[in-house]
Amino acid sequence: MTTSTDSVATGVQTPALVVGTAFSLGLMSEGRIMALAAACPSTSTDPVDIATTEALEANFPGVEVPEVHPDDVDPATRNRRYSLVRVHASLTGVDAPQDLVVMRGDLDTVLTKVTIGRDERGVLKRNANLVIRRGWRPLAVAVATVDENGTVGPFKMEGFIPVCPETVARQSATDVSTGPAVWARVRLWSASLRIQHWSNVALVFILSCTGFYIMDPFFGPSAFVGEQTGFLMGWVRLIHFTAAFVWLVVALTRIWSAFTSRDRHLRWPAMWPLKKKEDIRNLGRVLQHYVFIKEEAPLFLGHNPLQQLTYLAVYIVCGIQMMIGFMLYGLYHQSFAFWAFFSTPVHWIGVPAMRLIHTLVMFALWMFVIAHIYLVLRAESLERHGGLSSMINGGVWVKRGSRPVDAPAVE
Amino acid sequence: MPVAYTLDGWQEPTLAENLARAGVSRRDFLKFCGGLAAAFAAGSAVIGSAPGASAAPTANPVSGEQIASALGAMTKPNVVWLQLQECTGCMESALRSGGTSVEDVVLNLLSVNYNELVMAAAGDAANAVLDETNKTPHILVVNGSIPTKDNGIYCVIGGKSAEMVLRESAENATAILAVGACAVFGSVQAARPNPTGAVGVDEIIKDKPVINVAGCPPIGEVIMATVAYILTNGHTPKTDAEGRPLFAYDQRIHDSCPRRPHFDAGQYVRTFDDEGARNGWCLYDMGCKGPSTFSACPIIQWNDHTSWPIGAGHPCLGCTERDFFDRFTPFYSKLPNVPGLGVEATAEKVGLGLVAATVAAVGVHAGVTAIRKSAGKKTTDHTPLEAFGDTEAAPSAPQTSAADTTATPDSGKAE
Repeated sequence: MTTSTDSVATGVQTPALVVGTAFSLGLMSEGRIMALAAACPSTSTDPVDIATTEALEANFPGVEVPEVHPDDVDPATRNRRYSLVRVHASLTGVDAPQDLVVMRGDLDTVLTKVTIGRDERGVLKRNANLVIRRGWRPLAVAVATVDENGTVGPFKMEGFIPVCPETVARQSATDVSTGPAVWARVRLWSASLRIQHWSNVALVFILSCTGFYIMDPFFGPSAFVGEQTGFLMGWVRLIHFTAAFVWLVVALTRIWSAFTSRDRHLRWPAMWPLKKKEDIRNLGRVLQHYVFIKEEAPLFLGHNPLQQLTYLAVYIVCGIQMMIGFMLYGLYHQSFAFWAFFSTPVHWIGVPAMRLIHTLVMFALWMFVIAHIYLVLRAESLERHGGLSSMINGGVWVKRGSRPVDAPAVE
Repeated sequence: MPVAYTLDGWQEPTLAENLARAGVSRRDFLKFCGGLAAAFAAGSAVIGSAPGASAAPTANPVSGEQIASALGAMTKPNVVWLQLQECTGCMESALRSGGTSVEDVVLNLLSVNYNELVMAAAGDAANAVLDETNKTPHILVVNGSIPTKDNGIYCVIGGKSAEMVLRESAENATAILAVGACAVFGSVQAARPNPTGAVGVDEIIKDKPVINVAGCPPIGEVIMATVAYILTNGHTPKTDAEGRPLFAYDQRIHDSCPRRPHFDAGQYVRTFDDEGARNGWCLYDMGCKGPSTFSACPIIQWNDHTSWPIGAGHPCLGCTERDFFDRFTPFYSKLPNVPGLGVEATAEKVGLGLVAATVAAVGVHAGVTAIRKSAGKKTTDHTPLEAFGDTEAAPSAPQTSAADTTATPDSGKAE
């Protein structure tokens, strides 16, 4: 293995690495494979050695790193793309320690040097391809026992460990499944916020479908068939008005919670991101990320500034939509001072213009919904942090040690 | 049904005596007043509680007898009925040609002072009557809009512009009624681009309340009921936000439309010649503005309850609403077009187009994201790592004997 001076001398600067969950062919536990792969002299500065040791300590705190003498290491070369390390360790973690030789390196090369059945080879290759597709590299681990005469037995394939540069891992392909202990669970969205979100989804859907039909009754009974028709429009309107009043109640509870809730994400400051200069800079960074100028966006645990502004706008637009609906509904009851008062603005621009605005706001909400769903799926597939499921279960995964802009560092 | 009445002007002190002289029986007069009471109560009980003929305003509905006693005891009122920039349709509607009725008699008795259409006098004689009436307290009824551009030369009567005529007549008026869409907001001549600068009465007369009897033309009974309301109550009726008397304009046409059950059933006329049109189905899909229009049309109807536009199979145009030529067009579409986007920009087309554009934008963004992501992957494939043998270990690294004895893989395999 190279020393730190060597690596400076050769000018090779390898980035910090992340190690994912070990894949085991079934004989060894993941922790055992990780421990054997991490076997290195305590002075080693090789990034893979450092990363595997750290991952072992973080994910398998009970498993000991085997002691290795620097002389017992035969590093990989370009012609022989694996290293050999002699360790004195337990093979399964339960039985007594014995002398072992660990072969660690490029998967394809190691496969040519080990005994492995056809089926196992297939399973191994399939799983290796899976991690390769996510941007990781499989580091194969094979082990041979050494008998009392010092003879090295045949190497048996045990599995592999996915390895990836940290920058790449954070930006794209890491997810919780590749290293559960690297990730911390953060309970983010309160139950009331989630209930409101899904009530909004249901109500906007119902109101859009019924509203579209009221705008344009494009289907319905035909005079030529002459059968009983029921009260199609009557029902559509009843559903529309009922859903509208339920939506109004949801809006009122949302306003109430914006001022009374203990949940930081429900309170009104969460809807206005631009409180200091740094916020505006962060908004710029997020925007640059979305238009592909910047690779990395600042990390926000909750909503990023662009989201906060968007949701504020959506709240306002929905409020306008509710007010217009309320005004139009009030036209039925002009004899009552309450409704006559609320419907007064309709007389300023006329009923058709109000209905036109009501319709256009509906289409604007559709546009928002499309962009919203797309960006949710995009964030979910890029960050792999459980953002999609957090809309139901309320919790996201955050990498330990990350420092979100809007929350304390995650331990 | 038509009865011949003798009309020879206001000869007796009170209206009741004049009506009797004209041959109107007490029974017919009570029927007429009962009809007015019904018109005042056409809305809900809240509106029907307009203060009655009794001295103290009460919350009770006004009865036909109360109206009869108040109206019958009325001495000759002075009425000035101006016709400015208009088509005389309102006057036709008020007089109707369907036959002589009690309303006609009352109206004729009332409107003797000055009205260009029905008065016998002409020229200087007519102007003299107008000037004389303008000096005394009177009720002012206005048909027609007031052109304001180019000093109002687009409507000049007796050498005075419409605005001057109106201002002079309004000075001593006890109540002002703007009858018809022209007098309310300018109607068709005020539609964009409004070349003559036509405006309604309430934009000229700001210091007195103006009652807007809207419609193009308004229903004769509603005009009559409004005049009768002021005569019997001594004050103007309650109005809505557009100055229209609430007793006739508190409900939309849609809400009392005889075709409403077809609307609720989803039964729509799709073309003017289809089976639905023959069946009398709802005209909403043909652009009927009944849902946007406040008027008593479906209840009172026209020409002695003979018919009305929707009854004749044509969608409502919304003529009782302010600026209906600008706001309610296209008349045969359910929604106005989106302004600023050309003649065919319906809300549905524009909205669905924007939604499609959003989908396209999302697709492009997703594509770029995918390309960037796969590009990111390729760079990771090439990150050289020593553990994989990508980079050669430094030659200075000690190849100790211990490592040698750890055995080569070949020897391991050979075992």
